[in-house]
Amino acid sequence: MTRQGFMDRVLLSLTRLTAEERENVRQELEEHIEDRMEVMLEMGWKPELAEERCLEAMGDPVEIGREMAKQYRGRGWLWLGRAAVLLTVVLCIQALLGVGILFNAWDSLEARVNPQMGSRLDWTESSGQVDLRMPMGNDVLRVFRVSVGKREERRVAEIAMCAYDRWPFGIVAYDWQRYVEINPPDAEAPYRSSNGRGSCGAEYVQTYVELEPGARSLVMAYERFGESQRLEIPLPEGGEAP
Amino acid sequence: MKQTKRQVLPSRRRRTLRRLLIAAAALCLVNRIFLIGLLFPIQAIRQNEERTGTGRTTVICRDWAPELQWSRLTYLMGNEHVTFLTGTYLSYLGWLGDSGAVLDCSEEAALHCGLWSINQGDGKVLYVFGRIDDPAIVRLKIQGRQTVFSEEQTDQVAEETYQEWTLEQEKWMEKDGRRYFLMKTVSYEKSSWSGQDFSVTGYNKYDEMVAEEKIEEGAFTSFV
Amino acid sequence: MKKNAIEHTRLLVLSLLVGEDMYGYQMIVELARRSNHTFDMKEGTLYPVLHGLEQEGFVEAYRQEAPSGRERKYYHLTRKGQGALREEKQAWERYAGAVNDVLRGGAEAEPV
Repeated sequence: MTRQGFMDRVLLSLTRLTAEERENVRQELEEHIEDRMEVMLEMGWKPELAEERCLEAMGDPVEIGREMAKQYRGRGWLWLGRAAVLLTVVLCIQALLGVGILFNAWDSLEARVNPQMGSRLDWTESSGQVDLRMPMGNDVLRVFRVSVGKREERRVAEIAMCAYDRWPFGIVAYDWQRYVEINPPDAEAPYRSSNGRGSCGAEYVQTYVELEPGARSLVMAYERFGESQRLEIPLPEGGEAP
Repeated sequence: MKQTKRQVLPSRRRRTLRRLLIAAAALCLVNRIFLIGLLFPIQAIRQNEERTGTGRTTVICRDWAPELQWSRLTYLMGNEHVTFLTGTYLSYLGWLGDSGAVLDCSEEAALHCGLWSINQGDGKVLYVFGRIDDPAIVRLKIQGRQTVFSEEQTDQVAEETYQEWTLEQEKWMEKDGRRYFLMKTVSYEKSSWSGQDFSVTGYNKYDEMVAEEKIEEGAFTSFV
Repeated sequence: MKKNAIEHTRLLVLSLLVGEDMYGYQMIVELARRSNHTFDMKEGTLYPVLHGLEQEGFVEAYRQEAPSGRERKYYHLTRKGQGALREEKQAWERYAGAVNDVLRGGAEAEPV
């Protein structure tokens, strides 16, 4: 029997092992024989006889293989591990396909830190940055700028606001605008309009409310699904109608 | 004592546990941040709640609609202020959701109702759903016009039928002391089909009309 | 002798690793030395035992440079393995004690 023949006999019983595990076994047995050979060659044995003696000392290759195979009986673990790998790969592919959602997260974070929207007033009388927040279900409505000026021949207040979900990777509920109303306190505004932009991460809206002379503040109200919220928006100081 | 120990060769068990851990972490990450790869339908329903702003609702009933897609599930959800019909189906991106139709029930009314029409695959399904707040109502009659558009010219009406369904109290569902109903009708019409002019009438035990509501809230979902 | 050796090989292997981490051939040599060549097992049969212990988590394996200069697969006794050793040792001591008791009892059953 040659060394190769010995190894082959052992590995024959190890069909249920992965290729990596089989190679591991082969290498270890190989190394053992190597160590023993070294000792015997030092003692003065001839190489061919030494190898024969070594393989004899190792034992019956079929028995070794059989016993070894018994130790790797954890079939279940192997398939569970493979299933986990498959799941991970599928998830990675899905993440790659859905990578666009990260832009939404960017919008959501930007709305928290530095909300921006260009003013559409024809002429601005006064303006002020504010940070007024109102909870709206699982989302937050933030007023970030209040301006007073002229638009289409009317004296209006321009309320710039943005809505985003509490969780930075979350979605803003759609359709919230229908349920938000801005009016002078105790009255209904005679004229209103708005424009906006946005994504699922953050939605920006600018609302225009016509002002009576002497108006100092506006009230924003939200009512939906049994939730009522109210926010007072003071108008910026400075400047009166020309 | 251990000196500079090199990397330990893993056994099967250890290798599997490590792989499971990585898979679980990836799942958490992809679910929470990318909002896809959902393993369970209820997760998609929670996402639909987020999308429509209803807040937390509970499941009132589930309907399996294989006429639309083999995995299609429609959920009737509700809480104190909301009745919500929404759905989900399994795709290669995990469970995906459709927002469906939402009813704001915070105002007082005898009856709240809505409808949802879905076109997917070869099937078309129409759901009429709602909440019955008036305890006197024991029977519902749902009426509506179903329009079938011709196949050749999709804006030409081919057929119009008036349909009526009756729903007795036994068929309703109850949750947290509130009563809900869900009616489903299926059509396999080759041509385009829509439900219009629907109304729901409630009758008491003496067969007197107690309330009538025209359905204002509706959703139309189409997978072309 | 061979049959018994395999049965107790697990116990022997675990106890060998208490002092230091060893690789396969080293264990064979050490085993022969400690037992004064009483244990004369087929060397190849050591490895299934080692792999079995590894899969069960009683020993950990890693590759490292041996005194001979070549890299070898070393085995290390884990916490779990220490517990298993304790148990097997206790079982062995019970067994050995019982045998001794029986033998002593036989020797004592001499006419007073």
